[in-house]
Order: sequence, then C-alpha cells, then structure tokens
Amino acid sequence: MTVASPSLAVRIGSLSLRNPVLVASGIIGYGSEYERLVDLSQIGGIVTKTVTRHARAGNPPPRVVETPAGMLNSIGIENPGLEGFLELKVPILRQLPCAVIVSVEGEDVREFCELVEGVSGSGVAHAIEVNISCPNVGPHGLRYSTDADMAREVMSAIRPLTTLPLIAKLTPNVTRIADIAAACEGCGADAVSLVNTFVGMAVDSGTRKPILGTVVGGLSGPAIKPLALAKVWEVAQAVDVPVIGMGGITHPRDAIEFLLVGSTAVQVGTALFSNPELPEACVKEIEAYARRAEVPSVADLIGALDVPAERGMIRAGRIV
Amino acid sequence: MACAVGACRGCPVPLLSGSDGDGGRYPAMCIEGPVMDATIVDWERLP
Repeated sequence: MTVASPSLAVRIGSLSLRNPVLVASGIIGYGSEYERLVDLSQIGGIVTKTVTRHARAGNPPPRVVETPAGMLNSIGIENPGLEGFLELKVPILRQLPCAVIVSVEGEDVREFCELVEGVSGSGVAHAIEVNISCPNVGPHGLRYSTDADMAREVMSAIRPLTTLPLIAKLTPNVTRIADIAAACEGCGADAVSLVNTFVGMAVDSGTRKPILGTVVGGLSGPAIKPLALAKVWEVAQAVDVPVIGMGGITHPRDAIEFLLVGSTAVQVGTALFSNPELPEACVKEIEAYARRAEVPSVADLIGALDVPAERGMIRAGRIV
Repeated sequence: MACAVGACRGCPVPLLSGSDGDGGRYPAMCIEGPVMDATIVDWERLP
C-alpha cells in the first residue's frame, strides 16, 4: 500500500510551515541574494542574517577557513542594524514566497527588547529567532545561552513584547544544553533551534599565526553532524516545545536523521554554499521517506527514532 | 570565499579610512570585486 500524498506541513507555535525545511541564519542573507539559485516557494522558509540593534561592520578578515569536512567562520554579524533592516531589508523580505523568520541579537536585554519590538512591528516576520548563541561577537556572544539564568532573563523580557513565535537559538558549547533549552521553554519560548556552531580554531604552523582574524570562530559543516544530532536528541527529550534541528546537513538523508531524533523542522546551513539545491532536495527526500514509511504526515516521523528498550537507560539526556 | 553571492559576508576587503576609502565598511570581494580600486584598499589588513 502506498500513502497518497503525505502531509509535509508542521507547526512551530502559531507558525504553520508548508514543509519542515528552512535555511539557517547567516547563510542566505535576506533571501534575495540567492533568488536565482534557490526556489523559495518550494521550501518552508528562511531565517535571516541576524539583525543587531546597531549596524555592525563585522570582524576583521580572514573570516572563513575551510577545515576537514567543515568550515570555520567568524563573520561577526555584519548587518545594517535595526533601522537599516527596517528600511532596506523589510521591503525585500515582504516579496519572499516563504515563511520569514527574523534572527535578532542584542548586546543586552534592552537591545533584545528593542529588536523584538522593531521586528515585530515591521509586520514582515512570521517568527523571531532569538540568537543568544553567536560565538563571534564577544565578549557578549555566548553569554546569554551558556547560562540558564541569563537565558531566562532575555526570554522573560521579550516574551510580553510580541505575539510572534519566539525561537531560542542555542549554542552547543555548554555542559548541559537541555538545561538551557528548558529554561527558555519555561520563559515562553515557542521553540528552540540548535545547534549554532561549535567553537573552534585553525592554526597556520608556517606563520605561527591563527588563520581567523579573531583567532577562534564557529565550526559548521558535515564535521559537526554527529555532535549536532546528539544535542538535538538530548534537547528533544527535555522539552515539550518544537525543536528545530541543524548542524551539518549536507545530504538530504541528513534531514531525515534530524527529524527522527526529534526535530519538528530542520535548517540547512553551510552546505547551501556548495549545493543551493539542497533545501529542495531535502523536501523531496522527506516526502519520499514518508511515502515509503506509509505515514500520513511528516509529523509521524518527528522523534520516531527506534531506540531499543535496553538502551533507553543510557540515552543522551537521561544519564544520571 | 564561501557563498560567492554576497550573502555570507565571508570575503571582506578592508578599506582605508578617509579619502575615498571607508574604514568602517568591508565590501564583499565576491560581488563588489574582484577588481577594486587599489588606492583605497587597506593592504596592511588584507589577509
């Protein structure tokens, strides 16, 4: 028996996505940069480049270096700031044929509040991804998502300011990511997204210098997929809100793996640079997989990992 | 260079401050280059 046509729609809070495939923040700019390469009408949506309260020129070069099966970056959230975003980017985003999730990051709670109010007021966002996890804008970058109390401080302050779904984006550079996820959930996050990049560095032994302009940066790409899957699995055990999984999705099958460990939606990141067709390929793969599995909806695949009972005691997130 | 379409901001060219340069701005080599005005590039900061 074959299922006629499995439903691919998923919900993130009040946001309904036509399918669970998104493009991650910092990858696709504000959508128009990739308009000739990615058919946005075929994917669930995009997450914009992070918007900060004030314009940022970004970090000194080099900002990107290739590493085995991965990429290190230290862009430093080059962006036009809130006012520039409202004036220059909102008109572009309004034209996009997919859900628009706007990523924001403040240097303090007040900036987070102003950003959420500004982005919410623009009317262009279908949801807001709260980037409390960028490793490249020190000393504040990793502050809010490496400490549960500070994550609570941000989420509690911004929650009353908008009715849009709030997605807390988490860093994997912590001892227990499930604690941070639970803290965000407890303060009104409608979803959590993970993982942001792993802190890493590259060294040129010939010059005895670090390769990145900021010495350390964030590692992404297929090198981190197994690490990311484990983090998503851990968080999915710990929270009831939807988890948006990402980290090294490079082959369409990778997207399935993230669904199975508990992701309601997935984000394609670094691999888009070498394969702009990947997001669409992920949608097709998910549909084909659901058809083969004879399930009526992609929702039936979320967290459907078959963990043998005897291994239940040692699964991530439940270690005592 | 990662994306090559101006999205990732991974190929910034540092410019000199003042005159025709703008020390606060990093044009992306992929879309504003590869040919640039050599007199406004901050060669010291260029990798």
